[in-house]
Amino acid sequence: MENEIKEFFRQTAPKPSDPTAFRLELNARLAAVESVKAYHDREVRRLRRIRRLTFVAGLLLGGAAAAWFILHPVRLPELPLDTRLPEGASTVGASLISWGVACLVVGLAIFFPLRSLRRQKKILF
Amino acid sequence: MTRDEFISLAAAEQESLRRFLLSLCNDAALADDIAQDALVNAYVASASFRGTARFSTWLFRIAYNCFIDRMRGRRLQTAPLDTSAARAVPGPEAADGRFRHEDLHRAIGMLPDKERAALLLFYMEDKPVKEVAEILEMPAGSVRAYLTRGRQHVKEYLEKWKTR
Repeated sequence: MENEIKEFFRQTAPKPSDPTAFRLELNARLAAVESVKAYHDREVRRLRRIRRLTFVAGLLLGGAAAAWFILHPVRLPELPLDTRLPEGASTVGASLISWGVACLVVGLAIFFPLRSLRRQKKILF
Repeated sequence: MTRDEFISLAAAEQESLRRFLLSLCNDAALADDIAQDALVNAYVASASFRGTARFSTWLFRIAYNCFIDRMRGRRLQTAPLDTSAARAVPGPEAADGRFRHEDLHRAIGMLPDKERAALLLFYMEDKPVKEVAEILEMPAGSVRAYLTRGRQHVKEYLEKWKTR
């Protein structure tokens, strides 16, 4: 019985259209996939290099800044709690601002390559 | 796996894959589109093919998942039915053969996706139950249940149309 049904299915199976056209289209699609894949791999390698460089630069800059601060200690005058600051004086030191700017620069240098890498992964996979 | 290796492996399965999808969709253009998608997806994922399953099983599973993705949110149209293959049924009883073919494929087209896929893989592609289970990602017992139910449903449809 099972074999009869199988035979019936085999006899009445639909025939797909021209296999050559299908194969040609498949070849074109696979070639396109390969070129996208090659571009993707190249970009991943490039971004990995940038990430490594950023990491090393961050370490060097951070180390240099830490060494500089350690070697140049700032002696602050001891102020009583009720001391009034002179007119126009800021409580935020210039070194604190430069530290903040450096953090922002390093953060952006890490953020943008990572974001672009994530976007590419989303597109491809 | 290189592109040439993949193409030579895929070439051996190409016809049965397209036939399976054509029977599943009843639309030649859509079936070929899904087959192309499946083959491209398989090529992209070919590095992850470990060879624990047969290449054809792995490829059919990807194709079936592509079909499910494509059909998600869109009801499969059972009509108009592609009857071009039916016209090609040879022999002296060509007319009778054509009607039998049309009725059978119309009945199959009315089955739920999993029943239809199980029937087509088992009967048309001659795949063993174990392999059908791997392709449809379900236990072998469920495949047997789908086959029994599918056969019953097809029989009911054919009998109903015969009495009209």
